[in-house]
Formats: sequence, C-alpha cells, structure tokens
Amino acid sequence: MKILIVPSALRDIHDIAEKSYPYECCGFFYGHIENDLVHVLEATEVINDSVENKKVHYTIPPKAFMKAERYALEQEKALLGVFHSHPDHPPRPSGRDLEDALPELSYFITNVHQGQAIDTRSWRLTEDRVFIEEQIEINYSNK
Amino acid sequence: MAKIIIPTPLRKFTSNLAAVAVKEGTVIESIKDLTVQFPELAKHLFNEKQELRGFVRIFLGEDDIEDLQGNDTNVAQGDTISIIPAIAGGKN
Repeated sequence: MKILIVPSALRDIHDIAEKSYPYECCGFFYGHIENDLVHVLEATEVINDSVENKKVHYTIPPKAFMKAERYALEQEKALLGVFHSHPDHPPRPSGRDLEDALPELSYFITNVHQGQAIDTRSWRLTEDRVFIEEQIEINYSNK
Repeated sequence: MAKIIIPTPLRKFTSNLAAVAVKEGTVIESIKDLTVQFPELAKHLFNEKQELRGFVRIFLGEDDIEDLQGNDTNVAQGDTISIIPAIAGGKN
C-alpha cells in the first residue's frame, strides 16, 4: 500500500532515531487507512527493551503493544505500524526483521548515518511472508 | 471451551473475530486448535520448525505462560488466552 505521512510524524520519527543514535530506536505510528492509502498522522516512541545489543536489535515488549492498541482505540485511530532505526546501516529489513514480523502492519526503517537520519523506507509483509517495499509520500495537507 | 483473544494485525486471518472459542487442554493444544479453525494463521504463529515465532507471547488470564508451565500450561474450560505480539528485529 502507499503511505501518506504528515511532516510532523516523519520529523518525530527522525528526531527519535537521531536522539537514540548509536542505538536502535522503536515505536508505533497511528492514523487511518482509506482507499488502500495508509494515512500516518502520529508517531510515538517506545523505549527499546532489547536485552541484546541495542546497537543492532530492538524489542517492543507485549505490554507496550497492548498499550498501543488501547491508545489507538481511545484516539479513534488505527495502529498502522512499527518504526525502528538502523544506525549506519541501509533501511532494509534484516533476516531478523523478517522472522519476527507481523502481517497487516507497515514497518518503517530509518537509516541514521553518523547521527543524522537520512532516509526512511516502509516495508509490508505479504501473505507469503516476504517483505515488499511501500512508497512513502509526504502529506502536506496534514489530513 | 476456552477463548483466545486475537491481536488486531492477525484478525484478518480469523474472519475479523477478536476472540475465538477453542478446545481446552494445554496452551499449545488450544493454539493448534485455533490454527485448525483458521489455517492461514499457522504460518504467522509458527516458524518452519513448527515452533512459536519469537514475537508470539501467550498470556493465560493476566499471566505470561513463561511464568507458568510454558506451552504445557493447563487450559481449563472458560479460561482466556491472549496472543500478544512482542515486536522485535534490528539490523543484525
């Protein structure tokens, strides 16, 4: 699906990714889906709970997922996906990203090069459990 | 029967049902019953070795089954099981 994201949400994701460097950040984004367009309106950070090396791995604990589902319900928005960063690494899903991915969500990956967020790409799992890239477009109308 | 609560991203595979009635027994038997009812769900819950994927966390009532007897935790009639994703990944 094509992604339309308001500038403030993308800026928030990049700010979180830069602040977290050299560690991976993570979080959720919310909005709505209309006519096969994913409208991203808001992004919120979740503290990376990985017990492994946070420079190469992130974990969002189950309770944070429950909280995000509740938050989406309260805000009358949909939980659309998950973002995380790849410090000094291309914004493409790794084998590990694939192994633990859920269907029906968009996965944003931001490449942070030497502390600066330079590129965010979106990926979605197919029913055959393969990632395909989704086009991201900035939605300047903020709707 | 027991009941399994389905997280939003997986409801597409349960005909948009938020909760599904399943056979009691052990946790893994109840989850297998869910995948018998909704076969498309199996590949998202289990890896090629037929083990639960890393992101799949199972709660019985309010308790993580890892704090009980894991997959062999007993499920009684009327119990509620929740499948909650623990999302993970990273560049390595």
